[in-house]
Order: sequence, then C-alpha cells, then structure tokens
Amino acid sequence: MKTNPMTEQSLPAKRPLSDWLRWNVAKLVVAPTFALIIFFVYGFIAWTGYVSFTKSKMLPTYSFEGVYQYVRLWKMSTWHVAMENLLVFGGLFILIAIVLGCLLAVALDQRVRAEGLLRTVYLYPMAISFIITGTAWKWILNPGLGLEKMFHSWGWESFSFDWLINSDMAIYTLVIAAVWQSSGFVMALFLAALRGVDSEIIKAAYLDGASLSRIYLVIILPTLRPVFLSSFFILAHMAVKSFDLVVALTGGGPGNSSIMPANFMYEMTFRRNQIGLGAASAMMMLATVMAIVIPYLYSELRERKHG
Amino acid sequence: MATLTIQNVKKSYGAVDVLKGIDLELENGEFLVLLGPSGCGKSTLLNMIAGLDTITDGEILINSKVVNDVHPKDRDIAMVFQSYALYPNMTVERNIGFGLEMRKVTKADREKRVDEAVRMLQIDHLRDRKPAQLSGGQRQRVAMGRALVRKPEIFLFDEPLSNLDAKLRVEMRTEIKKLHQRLGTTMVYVTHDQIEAMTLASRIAILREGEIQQFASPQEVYERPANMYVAGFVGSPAMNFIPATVVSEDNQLGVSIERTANGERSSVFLALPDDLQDIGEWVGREVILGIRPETLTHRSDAEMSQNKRLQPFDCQVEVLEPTGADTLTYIELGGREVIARVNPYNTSNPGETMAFMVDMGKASLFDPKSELRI
Repeated sequence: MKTNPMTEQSLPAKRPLSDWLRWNVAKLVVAPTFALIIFFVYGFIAWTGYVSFTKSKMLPTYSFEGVYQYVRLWKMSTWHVAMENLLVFGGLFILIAIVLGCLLAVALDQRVRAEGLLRTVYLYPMAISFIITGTAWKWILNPGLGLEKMFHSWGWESFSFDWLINSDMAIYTLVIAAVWQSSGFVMALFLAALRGVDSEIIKAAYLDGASLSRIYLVIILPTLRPVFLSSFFILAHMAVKSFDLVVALTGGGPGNSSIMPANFMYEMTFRRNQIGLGAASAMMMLATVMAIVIPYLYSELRERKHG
Repeated sequence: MATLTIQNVKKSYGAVDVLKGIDLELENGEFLVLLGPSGCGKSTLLNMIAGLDTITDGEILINSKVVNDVHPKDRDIAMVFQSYALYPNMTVERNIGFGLEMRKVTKADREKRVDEAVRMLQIDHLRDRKPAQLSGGQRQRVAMGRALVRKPEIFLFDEPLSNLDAKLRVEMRTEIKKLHQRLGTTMVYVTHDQIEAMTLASRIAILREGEIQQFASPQEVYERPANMYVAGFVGSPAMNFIPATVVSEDNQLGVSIERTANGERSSVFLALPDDLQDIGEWVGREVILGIRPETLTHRSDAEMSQNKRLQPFDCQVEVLEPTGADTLTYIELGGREVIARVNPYNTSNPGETMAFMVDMGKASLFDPKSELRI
C-alpha cells in the first residue's frame, strides 16, 4: 500500500508543541487558580465538614463522633440568639434595602437634575468596608458621642436614642448600618433595569390613561422581577455572612444580644478552643446559604434552558 | 370620527428648531401620512398630536377644540407604536383591555369589546398568551387591538410596520387599509417608506427638516411634485432629473437635451405640451426636466400617432437591468444617468442606439436654483 507520508505523518508532527499550546493555553491559564480554589475553598469546606463530626477542642482530632457537636450546638441558648438575630436582621435588612433602593431608583428615574451626582452619593457607601461603616455608625449612635449628644447640646434634653446599648434594640442598629451601606447598590441595580424599560411602553400606558404610580406599580415593577430576585439573593448572602459589621458596631453586645452566627463561629473556633462546635455552626451557616442559593441557581439555569 | 387641524405648530429644543411652522387640515375620516426621512420631525409632530410632547408655538385642534393643554388620555386618541409597546407582564387580553380598565369601563362591557377586537384582528386564539410568546406580526395585531378597542376619535400610527419583515409588512399594510375602510376613523400615520405612504394615504404631507414640502393626495404628489425633493423622494425607481435648455422651434416651446446617438453627440428637441407653452420667459434658460421612468419607453408609432404629447428621440443604451415585468434601461441624457422602463421584448443591447419616446404630458419642469416646480 502506498500512502502519502506527507499527509499521514508529518502534518501533525510538524509543530506539535505550538499547536498543543494553542489549543490548551486557556486551560493552562485557568488551571492554577482552579487548583487553588479546589483546595482552599472546597477542600476546606470538606475538612470543616469532617471536623464538625469530631470532638475537636483546641486542636483538630479525627475520630468520628457522629452528630454530637450538632446536638450540643442546638442546645446552646447563644446559638439560638444568633439564629434569631440572623432572622430578624436578615429579614429587615433585605426588605428595607430593597424597598428603599427601589424607591430611590424610581425617584432618580424621573430625570432629576444632578442625577449623576446623586447616584454617586447613594452608591458610595458600597465602596466602604463594613468595618468602617460599623465604626462610623458606632460613633453616630453612641449616646455619649453622636446623635443623642448632638440633640442634647442643641437643647433637646429629653431626646433619647440608646439602641446601641439596649440589648433589645442593638440588633436594629445593625439593620440601620447595613441598609445605609447597601440600599444605594440596590438602587443602582434597579435604576439600570428601569432605564432598560422601553420608553414607548410608558407612553402607551400614559395614553391608556394610567397615572404615574399606576404605571410603575402595574407595568414597570412587575417586569423587574429578575432584579428583585438578584437583589434578594445578593443581600441574603451578605446577611448570612455578616461578621465584620457586628464586630465593629456592637461587638455582639450588649451581652450576646446582637451576636450573629458568624461571630458565634469565630468565638467558638478561635477563642474558646471548641473547633468541633465552631465547625458545626459553620456547616449550619453553609446550609443556610445553600438553602437560598440552590433554588436561585436552579431557577436561573432552568430559565436559560427555556429562554 | 374627528377633524384635526394643526395651525402654525412649532417645536424647538433649545436653539434647534425641529418643526418650523406646520399647517395641516384634516377632514373627517381622512388618512394622513406624514412622510419624510428620519430626523425630519414627523414623529415629533405625531407625539405632539398625541400630547406626549409639548408644543412650543401654534395650536392643535381636534374637532375644532384646542387641545394644546389637554392631557393625552382625554384627547380621545389611540396610538400604535413602532416597538408595539405591549405590557410584557400582561396577557394579550389584559393588554388590549388595559385602556378600558383605566377608564373604569365595567368588566362585562370590557370583555365584550375586547372580544370584538380580537375577533376582528383574528387573534382570539392568542388571548391568554404573554407578548414574549408572540411573533412580530401577532404583536403588531395586539398593538392594533389595543388602539381599536378604545374606539378613539383619531388613530395615530408611529412607523408601525418598520419592525416587520418584507412579506408581513405588505400584509399588515393591507390590513391597516381595510381597517380604515371599515372604521372610517381619522388616522395619522408616520412613515419613511414612500410605498406605504402612497398605498395608505388619502393625503400625504411630505416633511423635510421641519417644513412641509407638499400636502396633497398621493396621485397629485406623484404626478405634480411641488419641488425636486418631493419628486425624488416619491416613486421607485426615482424620477429622472435631466438638465435641459428651453428653446423655441417652429413657434413651439420645447426643451433641448444633449445625448449620444449612432456614435455622435447631438441635441434633441422635445416639444412641451400645451399646458406648459406659457413659460416664454424661460426661453434660452436652463431648467431641470423631471421624467418618471415609466413615461420613458421604447417607441411605438401607433401610440405616437394617437397621442401628440409623446415625443420621440434616439439614444445609446448603456446598461440593462431586467426585473421580469420590465427591463430598466440606463441611458445618458444631458450628462445624467437616466432610467427608462422598457418592455423586455423591445430592448436593445448595450452600446446600440435605441428608439425611445417620452410622455411630455407627464413631465415636470423645475427651476434649477430654487428646485421648485415651474
């Protein structure tokens, strides 16, 4: 059999390395970060998961003890306080930030003057870390330094705003600071979506006789459902993760009244030598985030398939 | 049904004058088409009739009542938009009924009228769908249904067919024409498509840079264009503009045109018809002769003997473009490229000299300076 050696052999062997590189350069570039993420994120999640099933104290041990730590965790009143706080804080924070952000966006959508400036002003808090936000609001809310002192010095002696040192109200100061930081971001999301709405739809509704509030409530806002969902999920995972704001603003106090799950986890793992218990609480937080994110991913992927 | 009067309406944004004094008067049940290239102010004028844009100066009257300061919803008009502007979160049925819902029409009455509209537009099987589930043509019908159901005094259309493909556009055009014939409502229609304008309008207003160039019936616009701009804008292929000189020969006025025939450059005399014999002051001066391609064709002696307005000349053929029904024959007259519409069986090959005749009765003469009709 006579075959042409040129086409059979020499073509693939001509420049094997450069060809191979050309096809694989993308994979090569991504590989290191991929490996690092696998190890440091998912690897440590798995490790934490395992440790939560042991009786690890100051140092990790690896003998399997079942759900011992979880039973212990759910018997602790501090953990219950932390979870209740998460519910109160998360619920209020998400609700107020979305409502406020949405209203700000609608207001700015009326083509107000100096819109660019206002947008920056509202969005700017997002550029600050929660530590700074927390510290600033700690000063503002401190009865001896901030608002209360200011009103007293202006002559309003009976003014009292002591939420920061009131164990029933401390959790709401976290809501105030977090809303202050995030509502501008929600506003930016909504404003971008509002600008995407076809102006002819608004004209048509105008001709149909709908008032401005009707147009927003019945026609425009329902089309912004994806933005509502995105802001909900972004804010929800921020709420579950919140740690630094608590540390800076209330330190979890007074007492443990404003402690959040992340602070609980840190306290147990790194301060009280209860690595197993800390790991169990970390896994509970992971479960909370998963409960929010998985339905979101599911709906997103399903929509993409349909759409 | 209503009359619409627009009196010296002006619109300016800052120092830019978008509309420079528009005067229009519409009878009951007329179909007005505002025709012009993009940026001529036609959509602005429509928005001003609808009340979506403020009027800088002048008055708009519906049924002899000034509506300058009347809210759009109280003007009793309905509008169909270019993007259809359907409410994406509502079903077809609710989209169509929304205007009635806002006007507090009872549910039973609303349903009856929506029912009528969807049946008239043949979309009753789509009533529970959302706009995203409809094709372009179906959305267009829903948009028309939304206007229809209100039974307005005046319908406004803002380039409603420009987002459809060619075939659907022709279908919907007929649909709109039928609708107008059935309802007899006054309609104002904005487009940049001269064929849409010709087929739909009872009168066309041609706009250019915020000024009306001509306001007349489609036939008048086509046959007696007011200026070279209108002549060039309406008709496809466009009107031929030929530089010519007015001359007098044997006591008859005519135009003299340069052309090439049998390999030689020479002038040809084309006599003007009787109604153009009174332009004696133009003798010896340059004019622009406007000739529609279909009035310029191969010579037929039989026809020439019957119609004195048909004038003969010979000319060398440059290029042939067969379109099936006719062959577009390119020739050169007075230094310009000119198109003649010739029967495919009477064409000559490029390079050969062919015998033509032109219907001077349908020719227009323009002043080369002012570009106005003589």
